[in-house]
Amino acid sequence: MQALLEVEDLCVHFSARDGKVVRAADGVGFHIHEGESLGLLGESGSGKSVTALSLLRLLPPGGRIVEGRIRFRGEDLSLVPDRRMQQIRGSQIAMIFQEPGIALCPVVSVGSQIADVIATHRGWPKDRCRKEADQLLSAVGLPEPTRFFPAFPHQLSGGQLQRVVIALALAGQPKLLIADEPTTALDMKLQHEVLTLVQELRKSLRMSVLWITHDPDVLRVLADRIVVMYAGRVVEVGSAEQILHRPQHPYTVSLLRCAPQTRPAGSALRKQPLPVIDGNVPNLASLPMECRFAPRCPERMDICTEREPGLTQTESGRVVRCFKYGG
Amino acid sequence: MRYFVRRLAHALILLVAISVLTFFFAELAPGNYFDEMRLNPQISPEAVESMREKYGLDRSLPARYWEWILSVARGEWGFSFANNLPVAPLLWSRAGNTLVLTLTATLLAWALAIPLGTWWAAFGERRWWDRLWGLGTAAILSVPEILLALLFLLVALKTRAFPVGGMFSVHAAELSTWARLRDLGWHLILPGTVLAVSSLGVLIRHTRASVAEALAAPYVRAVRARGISERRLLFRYVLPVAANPLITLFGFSIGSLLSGSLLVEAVMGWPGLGSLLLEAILARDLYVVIGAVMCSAFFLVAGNLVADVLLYLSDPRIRAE
Amino acid sequence: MGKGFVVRAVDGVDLEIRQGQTLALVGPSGSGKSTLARCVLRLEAPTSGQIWFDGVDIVALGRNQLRKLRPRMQLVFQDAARAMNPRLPAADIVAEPLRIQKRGTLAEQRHRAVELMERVGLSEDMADRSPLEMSGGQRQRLAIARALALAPQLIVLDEALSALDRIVQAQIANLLLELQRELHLTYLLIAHDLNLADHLADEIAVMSSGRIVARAATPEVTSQALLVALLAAQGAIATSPREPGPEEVKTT
Repeated sequence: MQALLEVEDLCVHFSARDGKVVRAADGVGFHIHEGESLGLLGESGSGKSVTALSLLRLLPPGGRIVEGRIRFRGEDLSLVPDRRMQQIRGSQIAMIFQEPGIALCPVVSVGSQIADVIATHRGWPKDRCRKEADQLLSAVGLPEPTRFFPAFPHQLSGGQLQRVVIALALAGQPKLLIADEPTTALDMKLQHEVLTLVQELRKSLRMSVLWITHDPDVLRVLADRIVVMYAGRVVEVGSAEQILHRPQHPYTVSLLRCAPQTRPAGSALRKQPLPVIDGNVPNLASLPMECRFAPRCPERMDICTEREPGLTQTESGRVVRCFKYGG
Repeated sequence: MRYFVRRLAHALILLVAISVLTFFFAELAPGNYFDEMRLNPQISPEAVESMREKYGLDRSLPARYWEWILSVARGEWGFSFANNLPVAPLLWSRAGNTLVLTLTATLLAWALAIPLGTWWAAFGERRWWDRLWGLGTAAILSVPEILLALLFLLVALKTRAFPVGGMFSVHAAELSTWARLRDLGWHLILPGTVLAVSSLGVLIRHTRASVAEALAAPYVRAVRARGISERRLLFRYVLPVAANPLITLFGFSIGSLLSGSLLVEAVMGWPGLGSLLLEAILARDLYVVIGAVMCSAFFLVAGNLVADVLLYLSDPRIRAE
Repeated sequence: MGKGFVVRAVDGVDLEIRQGQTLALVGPSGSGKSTLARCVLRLEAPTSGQIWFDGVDIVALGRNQLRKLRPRMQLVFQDAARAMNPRLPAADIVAEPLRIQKRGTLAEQRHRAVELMERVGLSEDMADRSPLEMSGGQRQRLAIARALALAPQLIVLDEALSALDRIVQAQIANLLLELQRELHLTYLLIAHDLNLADHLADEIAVMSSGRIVARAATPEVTSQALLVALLAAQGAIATSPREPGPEEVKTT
């Protein structure tokens, strides 16, 4: 069955002030099926957000898609004209961003912003849009229409704002929802609420979700499959179970091992150093000809500093970019 | 509501303070109306003294201030020595003329600045575009008002297309209302344009800065991600946010134009507060000076109050206070 | 707040931290953690109560005495960049407290700044870089270096690790533990991540609506599930499972 979204060889570059080229994403490829939930796991500088923004062609100034194909339901989004892209945004593919408060225009009421999306994509008359907006607000857990429709963002709490943002994303009835670290700025209770809400809605709407996060724990309950990215490259792809319980790429292994855990009583591991690799993400403007993880890799071999590995299939539906497994 | 009461109270206190200061500064300035007379050998010193007494100029400063307050309460606003009239009627007619001129100029300036500034900001990522506009506005900014005024007068003289000063033609009283308005219009064009252009440079820059800042806000990307068209984005989501600092500026610009049109009025012969003030200063006509300054101050404060009202109406966040 | 309303941001809190130890303060937003921290640092004056620092009640101190007290307690925020002058190079930012307290010559200050930067893992060639050019993790390290400049006894970490990527968070957690051992520092850690709190702290206090609703010395907790259940029952936080396949404790 053809995938809902197929990304192939996506390269996104940024031109820096001094003329250098930052290779934010290089040769990124993955696919999402209808109804599937894919996690894009990586830290700052991995290229995950840039990849997501490319799907909607919302790159900041200076960024451009240099190469690659983004096939969504038969269309290549990297090539379609701007008008068509505008139609797709919000109605086929929707995106929610990191801090809910900043995704909302402060001077337009929350309900009007939702109604606006409905009007844009479905062309209904004003009162029908308003009714629909009220229903959406209910669906995300803000059921009092007279209270919430005319409210302005500064009148709502963080949790309520995040629900509004979800309602906004769903207003166009998208087939694919991209969630870019939507819970990072929230406290744990809210995080949990938001994630549960999206899960429920996703199931009832048969929507695919692309979760972008640096926290593997979030993906544990949410994702069917996971793509791990490091320094602009895809380094590992597999099912959530494979990646989280039997990680193969040394980066994924480090990522999963380093987190603090709640210890059982009397544990000697408390207040001991966590097992973590040193160093930082490489400078994406000047990448040497080697595996991008090599400088920090605890399992580095000679060949790792000579060239970059390719993606090897290690199991069915699983690939790794590492010389340990071929490449 | 409390918001406005507070603002109003501030405004009143400010005006009172200005009146006191003006009185004080006028006192510090050397000379008074009767000095000219003293130089005249035909008028005896006693006559001068008695006139001074008559007009109360020999009393102490606080006493004079009090007298003036009473006079204001009576609606006279003091006495004009040069014109032998109470100050008030002079003020009102001239103030009205100034209002006509500066309001027209303000509206003209803003009507140009907002679209131009927005246009500049909307494509501001391209460096050459940015540079071009920057240079253009800097050029307009740096031309002194008086130079502009003289230039326009020159144009008027040479082309004979525009009247060279004054507010109405000599025979204006005989014209029909419609013709009178047209006459007014023709007379307004030059001084109005000078005033408008002199503030245009700054206004365009401020508009652009405001719009550019609003465009750079994180929510803009989120709104685009919903598929909202660029046009709707600009008008519904960006401009209202950009409007906030601009509205405040609007209030200031009315106020400052009103109080700062003196030069243009004087040079281009517009019979407004500015030229009244100039005449009065030269003649040492004390109460006219004070009256005109108070009028100016009043306009400035009123302009700011207007800005406050507009801000309240346009920004829901202010209403929440 | 409006007329006639008094908000009890911190309501009858009793706490103590021993020197060289870490107390973690967890709770949802709005529970009063930051307010409490600010009181401890005497950035705010509590309405009532006492705060004993090294045997002295700092609530009662006058301005001059407070000024002498300040170097002994420092603060690191969640987003350190907001507390840094972006026009200053990194070394100057670290040296700023020395400059304000007038300690040492300029050369000595610079030397100490570079020393501190290296101690927190920032190489010397970063000394002249602007904080804007650094990654989030590097900025937090810089903030820690600055906090160490005056050799404090207490450091308040207000969600200082919360905005960081996992690997960076672990690196900095290790750094903090190292520094604590080496310099005998005392930490007041405000966090919303229970796992992090549990790993770094000797004692955990849970705050909700201005009160401390649960407190446990971490080594004495008899079972993790009990602690979590206790906390969850207060509705204070939600946890997410860390280890493969544990029981997931959900809150409303």
